[in-house]
Amino acid sequence: MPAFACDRLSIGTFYNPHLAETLLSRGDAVDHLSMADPPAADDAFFPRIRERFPLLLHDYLGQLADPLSHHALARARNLQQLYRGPWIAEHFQCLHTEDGKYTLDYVFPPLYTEEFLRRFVGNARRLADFVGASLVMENIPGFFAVDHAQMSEAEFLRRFFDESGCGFLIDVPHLWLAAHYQKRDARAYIGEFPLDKVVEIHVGGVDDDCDLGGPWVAPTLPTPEILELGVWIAERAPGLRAVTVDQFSPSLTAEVMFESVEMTRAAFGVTAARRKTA
Amino acid sequence: MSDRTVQDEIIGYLADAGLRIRASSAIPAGERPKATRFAHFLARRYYRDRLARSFRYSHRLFRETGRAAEQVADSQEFSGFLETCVMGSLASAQRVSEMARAHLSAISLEPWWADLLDYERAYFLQAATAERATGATEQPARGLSALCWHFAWALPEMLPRLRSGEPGGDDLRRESTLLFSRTHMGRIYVVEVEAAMERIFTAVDGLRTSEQIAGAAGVSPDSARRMLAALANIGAVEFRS
Repeated sequence: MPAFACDRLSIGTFYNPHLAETLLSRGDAVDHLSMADPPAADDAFFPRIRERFPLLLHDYLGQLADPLSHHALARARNLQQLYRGPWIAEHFQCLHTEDGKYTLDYVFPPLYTEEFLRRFVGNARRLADFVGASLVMENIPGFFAVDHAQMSEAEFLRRFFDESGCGFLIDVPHLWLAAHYQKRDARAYIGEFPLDKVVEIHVGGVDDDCDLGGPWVAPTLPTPEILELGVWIAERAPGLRAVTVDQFSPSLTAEVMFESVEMTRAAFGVTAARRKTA
Repeated sequence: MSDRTVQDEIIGYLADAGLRIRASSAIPAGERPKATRFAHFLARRYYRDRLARSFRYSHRLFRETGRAAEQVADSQEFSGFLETCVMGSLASAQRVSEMARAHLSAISLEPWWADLLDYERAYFLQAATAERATGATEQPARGLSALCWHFAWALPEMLPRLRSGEPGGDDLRRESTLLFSRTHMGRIYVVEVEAAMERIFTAVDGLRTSEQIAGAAGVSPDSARRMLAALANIGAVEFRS
């Protein structure tokens, strides 16, 4: 199993199984792959994908607003044993009701309160301890404002990282959207976040959505503004190790996937280089 | 009220159009139109994704049909449905499945086309129903979305052919009965069942005891217990005491 690049930034994308054959045929185009779903039982390409690329666990492991069940913890550990990436990822999200009656089936942020901070810190520590791997946490944008918040998203995340010891997976389109819908300047908004904790950056595209009446994340090419913001973050993130193009969709084409990775390489000044062991 | 309870109120507001009729204490009045737009975005995404996954075999014939099940998620009818949708409920899944069935039935293709659509519709009901049955019952009950369906064609053999681009031929004209179910963990099962198993499943109504189910199905109590256990393993039957 290949090891993660250690002499330079690793530039990767998500594993989209319908593009597996193309990925394998394009050699060094991609440094690493993030796994949003476990490999399907009938995915004949996955064994070769696993041999060829370092993999990052980015599956839904559970919502850390609530304690994870033993089943969920064991599943996370099994997936990490399969991928053996240098870290695992989860999101600042709370999308299921406690009684299981409703689920949004989509990332949705928690209330930024002391109670949720305690919950996330405790449950994140348990997950990382059980799996035996470093945990990075990804920011999630809100589309509308709610009452009851006791602190800003940036303060919530800063305190979480300080208390949990987790790393920051900073999703640039998510922050750009949060700033956009709060009518804030994106760079000023991002500057409030603990960039010194960043381990991985997500870049990606945004496109107009008919229901939202404005932009949202989309499996399209990263915009120049998103890439510029990503580079600006990288300059302030001494612990940064990877940049991942966040595109996971059955409609994603190989052309868009490879062009996105190339644009990201160019923006971050990383050339396709030899892979070295970590 | 704990913060977790407030969060649940917001999640319910987004998932259930019925709850959006009432004001939510957690969402300021000025933000409610935006919250409703986000709720519509979530629901459209949820059903479009499940339509694409469930109707993937009929989609393979898109070049000939020009139709795909997920197209209904962009229709006027679907926009109207969003005003009453309860995301993940059986009733909403049934309504969307009927839209997709009607959209694809409008074209007549091969003789097995109707059977394929019935298969995909039954699969979609499992994929799109996250709702769980409520209320304890002492007796075995059917999984909320579980169903048995009779087919005139051998779907288990036809689907691999469609996957590999081969045509379904007359040699696949064979009656089959398939049971579709979903576990609490969201795993979907489609299994071909024999007549006795179907009779057991049909006899389960949340009221009959295992012995009464055995009697109604005409099998021995021991066999009935084994079959009920097998059905419970795939989410087709639940014990909710």
